[in-house]
Amino acid sequence: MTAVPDVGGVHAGTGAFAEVHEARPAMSSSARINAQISAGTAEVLTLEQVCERARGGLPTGVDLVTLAFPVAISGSAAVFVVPIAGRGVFTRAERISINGIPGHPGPAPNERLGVVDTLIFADERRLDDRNYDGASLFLELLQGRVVEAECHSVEGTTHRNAFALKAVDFARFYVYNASLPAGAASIRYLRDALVPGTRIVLNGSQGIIVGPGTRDRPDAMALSITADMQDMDADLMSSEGGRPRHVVACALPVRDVATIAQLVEWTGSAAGEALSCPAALRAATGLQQLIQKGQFQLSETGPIDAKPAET
Amino acid sequence: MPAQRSIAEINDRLARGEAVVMTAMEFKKEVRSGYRFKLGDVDVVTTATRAVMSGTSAILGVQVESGSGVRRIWMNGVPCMIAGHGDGQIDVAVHGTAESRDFPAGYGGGHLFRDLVSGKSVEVEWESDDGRSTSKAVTLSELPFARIYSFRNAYRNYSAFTNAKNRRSYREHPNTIFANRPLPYMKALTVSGSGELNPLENDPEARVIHSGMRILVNKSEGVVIGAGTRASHHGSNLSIAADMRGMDPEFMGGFKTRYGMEITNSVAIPIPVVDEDVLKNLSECLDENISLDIADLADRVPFTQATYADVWNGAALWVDFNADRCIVCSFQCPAEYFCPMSAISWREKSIDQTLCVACGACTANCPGGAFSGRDHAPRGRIGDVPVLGRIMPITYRLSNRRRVIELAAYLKQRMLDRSFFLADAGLPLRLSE
Repeated sequence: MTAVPDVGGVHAGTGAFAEVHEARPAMSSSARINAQISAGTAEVLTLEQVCERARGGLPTGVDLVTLAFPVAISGSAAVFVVPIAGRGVFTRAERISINGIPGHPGPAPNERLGVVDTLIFADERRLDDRNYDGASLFLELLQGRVVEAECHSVEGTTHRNAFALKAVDFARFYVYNASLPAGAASIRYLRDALVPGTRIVLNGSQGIIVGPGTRDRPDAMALSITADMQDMDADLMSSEGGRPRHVVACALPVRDVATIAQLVEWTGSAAGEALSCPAALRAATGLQQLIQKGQFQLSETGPIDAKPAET
Repeated sequence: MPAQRSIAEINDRLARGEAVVMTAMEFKKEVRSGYRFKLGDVDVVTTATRAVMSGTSAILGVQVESGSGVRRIWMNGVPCMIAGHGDGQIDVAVHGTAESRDFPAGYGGGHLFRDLVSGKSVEVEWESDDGRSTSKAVTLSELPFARIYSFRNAYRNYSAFTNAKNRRSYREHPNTIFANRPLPYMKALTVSGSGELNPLENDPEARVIHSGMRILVNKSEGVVIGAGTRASHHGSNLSIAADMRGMDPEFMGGFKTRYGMEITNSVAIPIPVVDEDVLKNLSECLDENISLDIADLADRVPFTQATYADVWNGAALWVDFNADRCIVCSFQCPAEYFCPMSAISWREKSIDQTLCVACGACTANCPGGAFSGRDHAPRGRIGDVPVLGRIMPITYRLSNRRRVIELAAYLKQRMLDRSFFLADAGLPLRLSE
């Protein structure tokens, strides 16, 4: 780890903060902060803490700000490898449902393997109970409940199996559209920081940003996110009296005080309600603690000004 | 603490134009010539694979004008799953293995993706809640969103299959994606796997292939999401994603099998040489050291082994059509019929090399022997593998090394051009036991 540039003085709290950041090459900022995380010297604040401190002037010497926000569960699906029967018992699944929610077998046919790759959308509803949907199923799985799968094979046989999440080898959320709170699209810094490959936390489980969301627009920012379901926190996903939703937490490296000013201003806007709801505050604090314990590092993504490919 | 380097350091060297980037082909050649690599000799080795990758889907955003809700939707007849709607946009998921209702057994999700990437116009048809049916033509540039998502791709090599047990279940249901016609007892072998060029084979413990890693999928920049479905320490594979814009159609496409539609993709992954262990794995990963499990097609349980050198050493990477040998089969050209990529036209006596994956289906099925692997390949097959003391012909090869070599070289060039840098979220793959 010899290439970590010497940036001593950042924590001195002097006015030199912005200058130090301008002087160093943009590409090594994540490496520098990761070295500080490993050494336990990174200064990490939640957005809530930043806003509190900002009342007495913008805080300096901050390396990372953690923040979180809820996103609608509609833009998401889960993929499970559902254990159904032994090897060779049937060739392929034609239809599958879990707790009555219709799933989509495939895309891999899993010929003669007895397990079925299954894609289930959050919005998929049970035919006999319109109030029970994919989102309800996901929450039950996170809560550790046993669910029942029913599979019809191409041979015409029917197989059933009851299982809990811990018995499943593969369970992952593919959130193809996670809309950020209002106003995010106008903060250039967020687009620069939340790029493909960026590590995030979804409902308490570490995952990554895949790219822009299906409904990302110049005036409305949205992301695609994935994370494994096994380590997720059901309490974050459940919303009292409402539909389950996802809670996304991210850690933003602080470029300069202007960055902090933008985030504080954003919190004071229409986005404030989402950024300050209890689940968001808990998720942002959870991520802060992960970083303080050295269990979360920033992604290294290379220089943001890489040349476009010559095609 | 053993010597090691960080991804950020290597990116720094790439940015300064000082990094040494080698393709896996160049690296293995040096190893075979007796050179022992030391840490610092090379920064990145580019690896790649191209094969049938069943676990591939796409999520597409489609703009539709509909007064009421949309009940069902197809693209070129391929059924789409509705993932969400609102604001005049429907998000759909399409399986690469889905079959078109308009051209059953001839067109599927993989063909649709290739047509979109080629810039062709495709027909979207949707059925509204009120029962009305509407259609319109769209091109990729008109879709607000188009991304390939795979749930299981780029296996750390694979297996070979034959009919070794002649089980009743197989005789009654000989349909499989791994063969284009029923396999006779112990007389034909189908193989998959890119051998020593395969990304996960070069990093078997996934020491450097992590979630968040930047990769190329069909030449477009993408990302490793994590381990794929059914990934284990013995058979690791990846879940990946990449935007369809920027993909090269020649590196992808639909693949017809005896058991429905399949899809092929190409994936290139840079292996950053961060420590001695990574270097050791790269140096030991040679075709002759990589075992190839040979399994019975009915139960998929391996019963013996060969190596990838048996598959790839001196293998033909191109297939040629010798028109003089065409005997003009009167009813149907079997080579054209069995070609999974629809690359053959017997009337024009040609193979479309932008489509051909050199699987060898034509070599094994042409009665006149008009098709053969380029250079040393024997007739009637694309290669041979010794199995239990006998020579078994390879009649179907589902991996395409020619494109693997091209893609690994392309990734190297992109890195040297400073248009592709390493990315890593540091999240290890979750592999089951």
